[in-house]
Amino acid sequence: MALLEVRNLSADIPTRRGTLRAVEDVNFSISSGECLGIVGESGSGKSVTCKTILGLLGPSVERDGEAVFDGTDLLSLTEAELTRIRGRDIAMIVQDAVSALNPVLRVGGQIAEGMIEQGVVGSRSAAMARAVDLMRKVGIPSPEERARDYPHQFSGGMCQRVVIATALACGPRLLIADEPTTALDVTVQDQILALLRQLQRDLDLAVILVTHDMGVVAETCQRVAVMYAGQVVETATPAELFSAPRHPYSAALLDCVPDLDAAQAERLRPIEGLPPDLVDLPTGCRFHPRCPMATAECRSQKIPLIDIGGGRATRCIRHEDMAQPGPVSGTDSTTAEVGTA
Amino acid sequence: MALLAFLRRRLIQILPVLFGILLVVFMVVRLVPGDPARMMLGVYATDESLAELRDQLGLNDPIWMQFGSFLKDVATGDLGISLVYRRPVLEVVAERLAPTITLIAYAVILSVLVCIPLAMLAASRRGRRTDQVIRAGATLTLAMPGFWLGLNLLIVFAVVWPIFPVAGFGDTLIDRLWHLFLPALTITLALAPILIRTLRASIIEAMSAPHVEFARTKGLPAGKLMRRHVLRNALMATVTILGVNIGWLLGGSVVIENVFSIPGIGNLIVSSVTARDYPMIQGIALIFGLLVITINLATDIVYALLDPRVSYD
Amino acid sequence: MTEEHAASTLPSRRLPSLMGRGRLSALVGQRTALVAGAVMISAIVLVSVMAPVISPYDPVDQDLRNALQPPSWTHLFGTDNFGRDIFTRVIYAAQVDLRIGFLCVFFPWVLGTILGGIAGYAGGVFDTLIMRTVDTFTAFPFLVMAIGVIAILGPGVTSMYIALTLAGWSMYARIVRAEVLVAKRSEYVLAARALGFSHTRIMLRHVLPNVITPTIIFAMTDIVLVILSTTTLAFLGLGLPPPAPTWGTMIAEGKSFIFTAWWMVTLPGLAIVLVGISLSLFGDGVADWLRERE
Repeated sequence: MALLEVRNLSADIPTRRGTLRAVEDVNFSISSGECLGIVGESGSGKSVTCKTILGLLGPSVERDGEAVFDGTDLLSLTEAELTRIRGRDIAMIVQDAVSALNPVLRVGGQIAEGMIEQGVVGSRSAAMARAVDLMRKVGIPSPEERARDYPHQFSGGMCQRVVIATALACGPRLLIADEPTTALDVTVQDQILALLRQLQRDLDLAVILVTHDMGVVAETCQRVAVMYAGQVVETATPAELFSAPRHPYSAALLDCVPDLDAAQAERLRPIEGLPPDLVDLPTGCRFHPRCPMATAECRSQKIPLIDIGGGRATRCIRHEDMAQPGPVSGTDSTTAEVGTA
Repeated sequence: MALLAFLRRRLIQILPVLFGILLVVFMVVRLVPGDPARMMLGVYATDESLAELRDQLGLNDPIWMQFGSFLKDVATGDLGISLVYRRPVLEVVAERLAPTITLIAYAVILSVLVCIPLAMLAASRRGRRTDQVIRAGATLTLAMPGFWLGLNLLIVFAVVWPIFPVAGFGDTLIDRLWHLFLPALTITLALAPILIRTLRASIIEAMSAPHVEFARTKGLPAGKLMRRHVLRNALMATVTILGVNIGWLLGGSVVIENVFSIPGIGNLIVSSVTARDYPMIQGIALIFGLLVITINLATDIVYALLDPRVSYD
Repeated sequence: MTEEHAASTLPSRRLPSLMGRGRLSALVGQRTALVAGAVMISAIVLVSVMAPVISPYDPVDQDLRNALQPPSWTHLFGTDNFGRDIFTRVIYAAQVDLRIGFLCVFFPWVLGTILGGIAGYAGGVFDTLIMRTVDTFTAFPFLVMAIGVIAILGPGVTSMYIALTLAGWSMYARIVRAEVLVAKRSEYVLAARALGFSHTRIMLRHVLPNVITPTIIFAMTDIVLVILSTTTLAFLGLGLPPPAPTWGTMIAEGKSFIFTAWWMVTLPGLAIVLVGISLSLFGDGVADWLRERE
């Protein structure tokens, strides 16, 4: 039984240029104790998906579909009902931990305020005591003293630990981590990821890990959803995805990842062209202008997410051709150029 | 103590300005065209009284000696004798200081009480009718001279509907708050455009800050979010704006005191100018200068206490 | 934020720099604001110049039989305690008030620009001396400074010009100095120096045009407050002596009659409000336009 099941989720953001289709027809599910990775380039709708689930986008954003959490559709809830769920059932970790903390409030109080508000602890002092415990748990040295410090007295990595402690404060069952390590140094990134993995195991958390780093996915996630231009284009386990991607975009994304074992010069290939304009989307498959395998059908026909068995799904009609061994070749060499023009 | 060191450094920074203020105030009498003593005492003054005044003001000494004795006098609290009141300037000014400071403090508190809710309302209804009405109102009051606004408030709330008194300062605290309500309201209305505009901008900026979105994910309701994570941060902007505008506020009190006949130093300086009471003008100018730099210093300290990021170094 | 905070470490006068953004022009659009403001000011000036044609009354002559008449079709704004038509006095006063207002922005602008330019360009002792003077001058409340100067020189129009110039130049000097310091380090000035141009030439041909725009933007927001200040000084009896009408003195005369003749106070003030709004519109429009051009 899935803890969160997202079905046909869409989000339209009105802009001056027209309606921006930030997320369209997104489907995925996640169970307790599972870590789902969502990967994709910036602007592919990863963050918007997460914020839509928690109702964090403004009222002007048109949302559609369902996000069923533990039997309730989050999209049908009022702001007050969502407030009860935020922090307590679903918590979030953000990309820029340093600016996620209020500069004029003490760190301990910021960790504790959610607990007090949600009524998970009896008193203010109990909340503060638990905040110190949480700081210890996420590896902040001498937490009693540090709880009285202000955010600017913490390093980036330590701020992220504070943010994680805050997110865990009310004992949520689902943790959405939106690029939690992007803003950090490489060595600190590893520490934070190790912390997240350990917490996930210890607390039996469901974690949605948004990232654009395939390496992070490989190390941390049990399942992965690849997003492109607001759509999920492929879901698989990391192992399956890495060994045999079934969507040309996944394949291209993997080609961008440096691989220390192989001869790099050959493997590292950037994806041709740019992601599409979300206000003015291409017809048919959204990846077709950049796809080396695109056919006439890809350009004209909307592609659904196709279940290909074994818990895998892809949004590519030529997925069977991708399963064939051998180099992927384009049937129409002019398409890529159209995309870049 | 970091705060003490911070204070000491700021005090040292103030010294040149303090010296400048003293120099300017010293010049007031010396720059009067013609014979200052004659200007002060008028055409019918006797030669003896003129000589006496020149001697009292030290006008016969070389200028640097005059400045030296002026500094010495100021240091001992001797600001000279008022030509009108025939009493030490400092004594008269000290009696008049309370109404002025009460008025300013009252106006500041009233402004904060009026402007913060309005700015919050405008910011949260950004671009909509409420916001536009508040901003248009602010622009309208900006174009109104304080004395005219005050007189119209008097006409409406003291003459047509006699709710408030026409003039005076009052005796007990409640009485004073009642007497000073219209003057304080006048200053508030004059200060409101600037305060609301800046506050609105900083609330809008604070509302879209990443830390507010993160606080939302903790499950804080909108009201709490506003109080703890938006307003607190925006308040620091208020402190800065009030500090920056304090000179303007003090200056404004001069004319407001005149309109409402409040016995403060603002009223005193105007009557002293008319009466050519130069020692008094000197004393009041000095007090105003000192008030401004003191309040600026206080603002810096409050700001440093409010914002943990300001280091005292 | 940081800039405002830095400013607060020094004593200041009224601070219209806070009035930079989100103003009238944002509500009605920049071009509309500019045009509406310009049209309104032109109309006010025109009415004032045409006053003898528009009004059958004399602004100064007394007519005690008609004293303290409330507003009516014969006396649009009513009459004052000497029986003079208030509307006539208001439109006659516009010329004087507007001229004083504009000049009281113009003189400080010139003085502040020159001194700020010298401080920034010459640096060293000049810079220290001028900027310390700026600090000292800004320590006094604007109005108190102006009153003090008038106290020395005696009431009158010339005193008012000198007073508002001395009270107002320091903000311009600060702005210009800061801009000059930036311009001095720029490529084109370094190039001009390398070519051996004289200081005066570099200053006038290369630095000044680049630093002047921010001062005009500031002047545009300053002008409303200066007009209010000049009418305030007139109200306090420190401006033009009677019987020549100015809006401030007219309101001051009405102060004694608030129980019986509200129109003596309220109606002349509307002229000031109208001028204030027109100048706000015009100034915002110009400032926005200049900012855009930058």
